[in-house]
Amino acid sequence: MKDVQYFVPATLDEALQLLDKYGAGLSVLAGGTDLVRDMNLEFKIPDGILWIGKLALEYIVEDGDFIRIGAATRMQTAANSGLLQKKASAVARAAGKLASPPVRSLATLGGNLCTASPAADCGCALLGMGAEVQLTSKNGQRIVPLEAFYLGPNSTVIQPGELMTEIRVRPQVDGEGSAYEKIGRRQAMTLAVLNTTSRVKLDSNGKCLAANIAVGAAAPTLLRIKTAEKLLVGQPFTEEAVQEAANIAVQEIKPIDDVHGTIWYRRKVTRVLVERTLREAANMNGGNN
Amino acid sequence: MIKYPIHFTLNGDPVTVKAPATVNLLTLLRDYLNVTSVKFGCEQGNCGACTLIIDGEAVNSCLVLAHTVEGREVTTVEGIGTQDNPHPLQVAFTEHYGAQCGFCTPGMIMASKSLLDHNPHPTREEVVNGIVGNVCRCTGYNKIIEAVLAAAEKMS
Repeated sequence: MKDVQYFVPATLDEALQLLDKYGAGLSVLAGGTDLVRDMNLEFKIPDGILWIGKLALEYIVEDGDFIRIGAATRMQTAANSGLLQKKASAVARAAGKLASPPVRSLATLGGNLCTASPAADCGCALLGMGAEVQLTSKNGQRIVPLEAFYLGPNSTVIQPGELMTEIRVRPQVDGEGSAYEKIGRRQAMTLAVLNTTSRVKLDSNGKCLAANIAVGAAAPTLLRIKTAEKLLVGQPFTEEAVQEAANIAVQEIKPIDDVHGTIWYRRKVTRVLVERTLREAANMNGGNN
Repeated sequence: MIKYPIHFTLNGDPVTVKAPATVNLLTLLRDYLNVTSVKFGCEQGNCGACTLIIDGEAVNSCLVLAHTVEGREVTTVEGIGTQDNPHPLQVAFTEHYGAQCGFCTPGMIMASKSLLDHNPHPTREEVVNGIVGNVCRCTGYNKIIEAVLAAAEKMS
């Protein structure tokens, strides 16, 4: 086996210098639930490992227009965050549904995004929340909306030398809610066969002011269903509108048959979950928002 | 292969051991330190047989790169009780037949301990959610859940 270099930078500057120097040869280790698993199974042995556990990248704070979430914030921290439960409910719920408690005390939100699984729990929730991410390199930083972040399965716009440092979500305001739902092959410890996030803002008359819908495990990347979102905005948020939005989602997804589920099943479940999350987000059935 | 030193606290005692960068904590404990309560199951974080506690939180030791425990506190089932002085969870697992073949038991107990440390009076559902990452192929789980609930009662 080859010698693998291991780096534990104490500061972000140091980490960025190392990433600049070694580029794609360095694998960033956050929680390890993907990278260490891949190393164990010998899917991937990196030339070097950069552990970001000492960079103080675990925080959740409300700051002006955004909730700022450190990229190395772990699932259990996100799931238990009162701020996220109240103002980004779908994210807290997705974090609490990922795998199991021992995995949730390791796995990070940034890792969930960077692994770029089309079925990612928090990836789906953050995309549905309209989140954006901060990518930092030695030469500066850029903000990328999650909609423009994914290129394909396990592929993102992150360039060699860049590190995801922060995730930003606009907090829910009065009249606004969000919901995340997942169907797996069993209740817990499971990959999503299909997952969905909705975020809805209504005025006092029940008219829809804003809507986001994201569907996961139904295409090569997590998907926003923009056509359905446009249909909802400006209209009274009725049961008929919810069902029409779900119809569009069923047509827009590009699911595959695989060991987790069939195309037929994924389309069926998409309709159910899009409707359910839209109702929950709009509090139409006293849901979990 | 180059080995680098790691210093950490294992069940209350300071430990220094040299290991390559790629070694995970499960392998470090079993093959370098002869701590065999942590079991080698799936090495993917799916089975929970290698569950232990780092700084008060249950984790799958197979998913932890050994070098990242530098300076931290690692607790395995050896660290929470002995044959002469067992932990209430260990007593409850024997009294309630929560262990059959025993392979999942150390991980089950550490996951349960972490649960009770954070939530001393769990409901049955909370116990189920606490050990949801630990696979047992013998008991059907009911005996384990009863054991954890009994231990919680005894410890309160």
